[in-house]
Amino acid sequence: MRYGMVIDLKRCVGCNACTLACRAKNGTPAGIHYHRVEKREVGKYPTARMEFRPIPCMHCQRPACLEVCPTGATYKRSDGLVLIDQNICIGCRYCVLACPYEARQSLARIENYFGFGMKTPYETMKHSDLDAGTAVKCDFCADRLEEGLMPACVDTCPTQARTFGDLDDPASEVAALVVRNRGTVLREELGTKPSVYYIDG
Amino acid sequence: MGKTEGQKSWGWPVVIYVFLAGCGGGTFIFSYLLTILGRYEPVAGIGLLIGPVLVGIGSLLLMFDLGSPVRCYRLFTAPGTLVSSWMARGAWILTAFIILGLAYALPTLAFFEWLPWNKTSVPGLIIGAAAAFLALIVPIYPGFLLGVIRSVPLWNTPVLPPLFFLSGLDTGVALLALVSVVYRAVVGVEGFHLLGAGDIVLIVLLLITLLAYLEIVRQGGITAAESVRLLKRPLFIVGAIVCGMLVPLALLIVSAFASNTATVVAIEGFAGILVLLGGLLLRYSVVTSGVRLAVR
Repeated sequence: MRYGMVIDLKRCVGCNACTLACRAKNGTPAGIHYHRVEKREVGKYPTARMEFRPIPCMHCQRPACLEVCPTGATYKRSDGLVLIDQNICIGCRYCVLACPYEARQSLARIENYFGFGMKTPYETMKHSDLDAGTAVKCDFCADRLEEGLMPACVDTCPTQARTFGDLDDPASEVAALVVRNRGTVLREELGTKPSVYYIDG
Repeated sequence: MGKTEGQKSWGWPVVIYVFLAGCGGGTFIFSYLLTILGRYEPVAGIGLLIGPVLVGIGSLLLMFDLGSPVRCYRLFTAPGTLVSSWMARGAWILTAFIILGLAYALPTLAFFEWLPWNKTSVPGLIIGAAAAFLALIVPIYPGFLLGVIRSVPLWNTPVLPPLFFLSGLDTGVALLALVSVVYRAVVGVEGFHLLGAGDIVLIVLLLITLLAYLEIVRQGGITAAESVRLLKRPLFIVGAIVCGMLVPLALLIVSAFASNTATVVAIEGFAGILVLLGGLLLRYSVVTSGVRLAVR
């Protein structure tokens, strides 16, 4: 079992609905994002175009963050998810530095969006799961997976650019997509073996 | 291409810690050697004490730099992480050095005479040897801590541990020279010349290592080249290299030919301060100029 994701860059239009779905679902504090979309220009005039690349946590098979974690707060589950135990993390930020995908952030303070120190009831509820002074990141919506749902970003994507499933199962759609489209991973040379594949545009 | 900037995760507390670890470890090593040789007793005794105290201050800085300092005990409760994490290893190395180093140095003080060992008894000799061994590792360890991070090419090089080690020894000798200024009557011109000769050798080795580091890392790719460009600020060129290495090197060579005690003491003391400042600026430059690899 190895949960993974395939993101088809030919379909991605850079709308950031995934980023917003992630924020809405996780109630991330101001300045914290578990997901982002990087954009850059590729090619040269007259064939130049924008490339949008959504970047969640790669849930690597050989995670650089897990290697450096001194407390065992970062762990890898048998289903491939790389998670952080918020009760153990000491906030040394070694993993934030080590992750080549900048998927982790240090949650120094829990701040809300709307000022005046007033949190919405939803923020209050979501922030109670978080612990200031620890590292945070995308967890592939582990709680939604338990309920049999897809991660929020996958469900939201209006162009269906994202596919989620078990990469170890040859019959799964994700595994087929990777093979059929020669899926690539980011920074393969670092040997982290990410579980998020891209179909390049 | 976005603007180039160094990593923002680790700042001043880590810079000062890396400096103090090098300086404290270096001071202890040379004080231990002097103790074994039975020379310049008061300087060596104070050096043995300063070493673990500096490393202790640095470690406390690291602790308060944590997001959750109250949880720092967790560094010691997950032995499984020792397999891969240099920070977990470092926590044990630093703690062991501080305890053993103090255990070796304290019986010299009148207040701690009740301790059942001293520098010449068998338990004391064992404690001293163990502490000296750890003192060799303490200045190198930050080089591994930063060096294993593959996403920061400026750090991810085998030259970093020896660079930190040599700079640590260099600042250790400089601190001992400053202590010697206080005990100049005991140390004498001959002693200052000995310290100076040691420092000259270390500065030359450090310059060679630093040049190799900059030149070889610079060829390591776009991000590495950007890091080196960011590193070469006036603070680094003028502060760390000219004021922290070249000027003290010249001063120490001059003082090697001087025989007037007052002149030698003044030059060695001034050179010592410059070397310490240079060591701090070198750490600051290397830690803050670490540019992260682009994600793709």
